[in-house]
Amino acid sequence: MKLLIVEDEAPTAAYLRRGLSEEGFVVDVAVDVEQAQKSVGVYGYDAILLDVMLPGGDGFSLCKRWRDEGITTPILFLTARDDISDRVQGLNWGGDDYLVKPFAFEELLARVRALLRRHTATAGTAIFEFGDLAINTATRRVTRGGKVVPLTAREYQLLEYFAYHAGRVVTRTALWEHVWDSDMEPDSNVVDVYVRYLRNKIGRETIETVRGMGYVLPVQQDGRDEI
Amino acid sequence: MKFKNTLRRRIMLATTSLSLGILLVAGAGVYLGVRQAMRANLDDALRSIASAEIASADDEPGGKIHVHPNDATSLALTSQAGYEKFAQIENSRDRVIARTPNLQHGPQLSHDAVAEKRARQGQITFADIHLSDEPLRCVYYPFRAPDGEHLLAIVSIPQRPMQKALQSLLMALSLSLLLGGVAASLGAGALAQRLTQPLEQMASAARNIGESSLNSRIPILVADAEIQDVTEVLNAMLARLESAFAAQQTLIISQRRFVADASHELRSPLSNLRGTVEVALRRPRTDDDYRETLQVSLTEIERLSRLVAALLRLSRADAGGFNRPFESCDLCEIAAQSVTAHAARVTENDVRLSLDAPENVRVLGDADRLREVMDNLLDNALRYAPTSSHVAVIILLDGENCLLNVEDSGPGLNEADFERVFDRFYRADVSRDRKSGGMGLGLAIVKAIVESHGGTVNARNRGEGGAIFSVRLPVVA
Repeated sequence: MKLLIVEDEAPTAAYLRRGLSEEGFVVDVAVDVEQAQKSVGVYGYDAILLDVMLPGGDGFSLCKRWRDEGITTPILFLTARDDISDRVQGLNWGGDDYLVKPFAFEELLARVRALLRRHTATAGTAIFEFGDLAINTATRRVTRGGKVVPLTAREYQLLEYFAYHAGRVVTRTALWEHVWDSDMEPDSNVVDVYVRYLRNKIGRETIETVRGMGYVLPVQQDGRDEI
Repeated sequence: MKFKNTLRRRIMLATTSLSLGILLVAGAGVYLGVRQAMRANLDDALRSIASAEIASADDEPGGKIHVHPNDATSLALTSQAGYEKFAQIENSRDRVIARTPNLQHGPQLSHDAVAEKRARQGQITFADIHLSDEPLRCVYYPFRAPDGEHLLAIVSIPQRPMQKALQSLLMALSLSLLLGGVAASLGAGALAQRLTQPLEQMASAARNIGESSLNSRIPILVADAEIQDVTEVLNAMLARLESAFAAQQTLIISQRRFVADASHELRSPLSNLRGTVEVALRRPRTDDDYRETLQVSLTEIERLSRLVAALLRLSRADAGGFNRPFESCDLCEIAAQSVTAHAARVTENDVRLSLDAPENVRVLGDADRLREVMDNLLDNALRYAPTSSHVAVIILLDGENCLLNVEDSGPGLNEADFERVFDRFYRADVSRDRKSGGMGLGLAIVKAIVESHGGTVNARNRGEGGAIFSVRLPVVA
């Protein structure tokens, strides 16, 4: 899952990037309105964390502009402005959630995950289950038939992305955009390699290949072979 | 029923009782005067009857009054002036020697011993006597008979007709008093109403004026100068209240905004501290990681400290609470010290810093606070000064004021910022200011200190580019 943090204060951006990366998110940072618009125009993000007071404009207007342009990426406002009128404006102008600084990092995590679940229209909890495969997005533990499957960060991110988009075909480009950092050179082979690693760990048939298009994690996982 | 001690009631009662009192005194005067006049009239009539009768009796010896030593003769009075008259004549031994027929039989006249005694001494005397129950007015009229005997004529008239007349006069007076009283109380009520109504209207108008309607005024309802005066005085008071209230509101709003801004400013470093520490604590880290976390935290703590210190300075300048009483100090010397202190920073950027001031410009103030003004203005100018540019501090005398200008050749200000640049937490460019450590408070502190010294501040652009920040302070005479 790839997040864009729009924040001009370097210390804030730094700890957000660090904390969220460590929780398995792919994080890009934009320090002003211009950079944020450029990033959103180029890459696909799963959620945007948006500061309100920004150099070159304010977050509310930016959010509105994106919504007017048809960009539906969930947006979480992060701001020290806690007036009710500010919150209402933020939500009315297309924001999905609003968190007032200073906040607990745990709460930010929970809200980001809730936002991702809501937006990808998946189960209402933090745990995905596909047959005997269970993915807990809060603890990042993956189990198969009750046994823990150890995954690397990248493998987990890949699986999580499949889980959020279960039953839908996911293209290699989408995987590349949402699981890998924006500053890496595109290489679709890398995606295939990681999908193979993942299949080796959670079962070869769990993720199906759709020829010429990409991969899909079917919602119904019946009649599969055990490894 | 409990009455309120109202002005209306007092006016009504006072006016009514005053009118009643006047009516009563006037009525009593009329009554007593008429009574006196009627009595005098009666007495005159009695005297003239007596003298006329006796004179006629004197016409000839033994004329009409036949005095018989043994038997009282009948006395015929010639004048028939309306009233029934009772008369008799007594000789010197108190024997009745003649009497009118109506006294021949039946009850006899009563005596007033004192009056009779005086009459016997030769003085015509009047008295109130009775005939059985009937009150009479009589005159004791001494005269001398032809034979030289001292006689006493007693002529009397019933008082009843006069009393009747007086009674009906009293009735008429009482009636007019009653009617007058009713009319007076009605009139007094109307008068009181007329007098107090504007007051009540004013009261009800005043009652409807609250903090949200301080701009409304009490209408002038009547032409009476006194009421108009009161209304005008009240309205003038309302106007003063309105402006004081408005000033208070402005102050409250600006303070509320200041508190909101201050809490927002304090929140950013706090939020960074919290986030940085929380993220660091989520998993075991290397020593270098910890060191970096602590370094970031320290930076945020320093920012917090600077902010708190600036807020304290600002609130102190706001309250006008200076440690020392104002004294005469040399603004040029203060400026020179500040310029010297900033020299180190100047060399970093290769900025030329100059001071152009006359000798000894004295202002009344707190030298430390004025130094703070100078320092903040220079900090601000140097923050925006491009490399290899010029920042000039110029002090001028302008009549009773002195002008301290700090000119830079930086980017200058947007016209919209001329006023707002002195607002608290206002930053013309958020990100650049933050990076350069600006908190948006330096110029606000300048403004607060200068204003507490009775001066003014303003900002404008130089024609050739760059900004001028100007402080105007009164000089010591």
